[in-house]
Amino acid sequence: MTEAPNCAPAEPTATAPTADGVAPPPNQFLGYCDPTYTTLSDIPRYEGVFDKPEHQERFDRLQRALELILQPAADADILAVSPVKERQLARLIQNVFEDQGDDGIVGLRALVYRSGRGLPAPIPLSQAPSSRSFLNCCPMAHRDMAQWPDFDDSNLSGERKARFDRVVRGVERLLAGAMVKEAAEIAGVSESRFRDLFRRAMKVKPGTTRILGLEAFAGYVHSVRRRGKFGSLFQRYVQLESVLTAELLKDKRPNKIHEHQLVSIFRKIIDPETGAVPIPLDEYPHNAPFGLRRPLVEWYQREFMARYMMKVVAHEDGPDAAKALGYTNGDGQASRPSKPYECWEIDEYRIDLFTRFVFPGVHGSNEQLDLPRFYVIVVRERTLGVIIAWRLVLAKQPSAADMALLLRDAVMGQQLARPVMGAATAVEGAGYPATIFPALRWMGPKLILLDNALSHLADVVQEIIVRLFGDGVRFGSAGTPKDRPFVESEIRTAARRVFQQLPNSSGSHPRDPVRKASARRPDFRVEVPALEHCLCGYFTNINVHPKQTSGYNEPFTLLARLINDGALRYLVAVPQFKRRAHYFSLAVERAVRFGDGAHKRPNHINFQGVRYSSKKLRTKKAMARQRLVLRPDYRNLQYLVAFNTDNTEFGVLVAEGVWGRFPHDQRVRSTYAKYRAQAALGPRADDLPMQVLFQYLESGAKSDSTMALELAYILDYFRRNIDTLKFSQLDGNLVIDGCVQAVPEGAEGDHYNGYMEQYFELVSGEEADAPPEVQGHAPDARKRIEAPAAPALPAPKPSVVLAFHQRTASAAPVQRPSGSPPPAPAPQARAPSQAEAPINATAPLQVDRIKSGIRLPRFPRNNK
Amino acid sequence: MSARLPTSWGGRAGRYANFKRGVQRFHDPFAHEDLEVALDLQYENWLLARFSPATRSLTLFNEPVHLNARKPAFDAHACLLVHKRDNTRELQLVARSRNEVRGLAGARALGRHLNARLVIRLREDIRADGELLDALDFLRRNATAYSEVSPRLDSAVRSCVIDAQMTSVSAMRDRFEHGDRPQVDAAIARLHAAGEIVITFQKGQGYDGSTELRAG
Repeated sequence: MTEAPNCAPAEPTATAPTADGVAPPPNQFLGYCDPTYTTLSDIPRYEGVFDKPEHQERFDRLQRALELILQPAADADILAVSPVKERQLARLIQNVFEDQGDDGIVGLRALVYRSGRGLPAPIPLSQAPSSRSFLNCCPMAHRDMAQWPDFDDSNLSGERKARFDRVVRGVERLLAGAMVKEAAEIAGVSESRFRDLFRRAMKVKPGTTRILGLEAFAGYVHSVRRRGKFGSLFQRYVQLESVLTAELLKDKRPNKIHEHQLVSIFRKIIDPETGAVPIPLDEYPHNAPFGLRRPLVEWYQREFMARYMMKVVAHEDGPDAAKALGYTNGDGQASRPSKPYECWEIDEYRIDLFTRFVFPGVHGSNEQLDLPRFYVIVVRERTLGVIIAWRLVLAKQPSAADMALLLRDAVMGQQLARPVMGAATAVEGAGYPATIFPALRWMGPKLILLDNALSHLADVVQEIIVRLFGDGVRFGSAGTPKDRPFVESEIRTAARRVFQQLPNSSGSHPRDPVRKASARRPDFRVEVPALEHCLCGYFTNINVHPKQTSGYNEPFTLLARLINDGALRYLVAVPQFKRRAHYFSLAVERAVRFGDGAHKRPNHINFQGVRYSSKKLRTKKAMARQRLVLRPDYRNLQYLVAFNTDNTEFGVLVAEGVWGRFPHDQRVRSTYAKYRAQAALGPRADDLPMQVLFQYLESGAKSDSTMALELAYILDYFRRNIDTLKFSQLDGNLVIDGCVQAVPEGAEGDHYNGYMEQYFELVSGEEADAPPEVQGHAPDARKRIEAPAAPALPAPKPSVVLAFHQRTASAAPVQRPSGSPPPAPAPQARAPSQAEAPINATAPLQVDRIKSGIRLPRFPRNNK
Repeated sequence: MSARLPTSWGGRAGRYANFKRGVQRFHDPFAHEDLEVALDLQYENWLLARFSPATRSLTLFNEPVHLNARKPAFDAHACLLVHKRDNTRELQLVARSRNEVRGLAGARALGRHLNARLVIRLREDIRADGELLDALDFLRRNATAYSEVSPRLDSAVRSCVIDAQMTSVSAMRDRFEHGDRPQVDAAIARLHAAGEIVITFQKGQGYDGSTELRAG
């Protein structure tokens, strides 16, 4: 049995003379070669580098073998040179001449040793780290180092001289044809550093016509000339300055370096026996002990402090002081000073206070809910120091919807908080500018400065500022309050004057003595409405008291004067047709869905997991699959305003099912959606959303601070909206003492009109014709826009019991019997709350006065 | 006109995508796009270029420009490419002082690549007239606020300036109803940006009733 040859290919195997007398090839490998390549120089070269020396040696031997094959030499000679066996050599030769189409053959790259499969990728010549491509930056005239400009290296000493010599040897090797890597190794620097050094040497020396040459390898030479004996010390003892500096920058340095300590440290260093830089006793400064202190202190103050100021301050005064010092370097940009009312700053702050929320319980008693710290957001005008608006956020983190509502309050005018105590009320004339000065109503600034909080970065915030107001929005550098110093200072002052003066304050940080002192009285917590009232009084009174920012004048006095002078002529008002709640939101585009298959539903739109529809949408079958642009009102998601894609208004869509029966805002909906997604609300969550949500939050509020805040927010929202809220519609089983009349099924229009009166902001005829320019008369220009005395809906009772009763039999809504007496009138009309109170509700609803061609649907009024 | 949907800025990732330090965002009501720049100075230069009568359109490179063709490599933010009405281009960069100009010389190659002339604008040139900057910003904001309104007043304003020779803003405002004045200002800004009329600002006067208008 004959064993088949290992590597004999089919065609070029014959070594004996053929039948036609043609001479056989001199070696068996020549048959694998492409006859167009007759010499080694014709074959594409390999420009790469090798990981190990043995790989390069293998490559060189293979290259020599290939050269012998092409000569052609005998097999024995070739195999004697080849580092691989006969079979593998044949494969490698095959790979060398493998055709790659337009790129030609593979070339010598095929001979490179690779541990894995595949060939090394071809490296472009421009990126190849070979000396040939790198030397392109060296003109031919400078390829010989002897032609380089002279450089006196006698000034160099020590490590610097050694490094210089190494680099010169490396460059010599490079110019002799070595690879960059090899030359860099000789020079003792990294490859990239070596390239930089060589390129620098090829640059023209400033002020001359010659290249820098060897001077580029000398490194940085400190050229400061020091005078006097002390100055000459650093020149004679080069290590002295670095050792002294390192000693002064040690972490364990005393907090303050006094003169005697400085001298002591210096003497230890120069001690002739034990010092790090010994100086003989017969030399300065040992022979002149009284001549050392003054120049040493001068060096410390003038040179050392100037060079290491941040580190010194960090060591001696703490990292906070160093950070504050860093602010003096500026934020890298210089802005023009802004004009009054043209630049606003917004910031949010987690209040330093543990508060309490009290709500009516089931049995008439008050339930108490201890709350963790929550947030307040403040809008402040930059030049005069006017507080534009603020908002208390009962949540772990402010949301984009909170920012949107705050911006709406800022331009529309914020109402005063509901008074709950006699003190801390606003003085006469205090308020917010858009409320006090009608000329500033709906006026946006020129620029709003924000920090990089997540709620500020939301698209809806920038949509409102950039497109609705037309302003610019500026986000400052991360981690520095430098861009918004005034609002930061304002909030800090409020924390010091208000939050930290109240019981159960948390102080500025966990080790603040204020926290320890207030913790001694844990049962006395400020209630949220009282805090809101207190903050309202504080922020409004700021506007009518002398302030440093406004030159110790009252900000409102200056503002009235500016209005009277017409100095605010470059303010831009929000267009009339956009002065509606739904424009302070993010528009989303949705397709109209329709019933198919088993679900015979009429046309509707899904928005945040709830179906919305209207009579118009249901009856127009052609609307199926059409796309509509929806604008929600974050304060009440019961209704959406829909627009066609050609920007004309389609109409109002009402939430279907239980979500359409009572007002609820974005956070209520989000809270419900969060726990529903966690399957925490049980199987009947969709049928009784508010009941199950309330029960779930109530069960966990005592132990979970997040749930406590969520429960407090929901209760607070319903408390604010109790005038307009149809509580009897809340799942049909919320029992309220003196509940208002229920809205019958299908009467969305009536409900909508009642809602629109309070939540849609429509200007009256007089305001519509008012000039955009501000024309007032100080101090008579202050004309408070009075809050509406009371909504048109029935007045609530002073005490309302919110209680959910587990429903057992019927889900029918609890309604007041027709024969029962109406609820007793309240002893006094409840003033609208700070954030949710309706604005301009006393003005007649004039939906047909909108000039933009947009008409709101008119529904018959509910006269019941 | 299709309904305008909001720009997606990308939240926190988008905030730091191009600008590590401060960033200013604003809306260009004439090109209907949202822009962002790093410095106030760049925004003010954009305003001046936008309202220059010789400007046809602008291209603001929001993403950092990196030019590796020349050594040393050149990096720049907010390079403003001005397409002029005479079919020439200008690559405008801003510098806070003359010391910065030397560092921007590498942009000359970028200008050649874009077939544009390199113009470096100094802060002292840009902020020579602060009132003018306020006026231009007022016009831009007005045009932004009314960018969704149908430009029904544009033709009327155009005919007033070109046909009826109304050469002042006050005359134009008197021509229309009181409530339409913001829209008149927006129409004037749009027509000026389109090159149909030209607003002539007097130094230090800003934009008021005495500002002159003429046909473009």
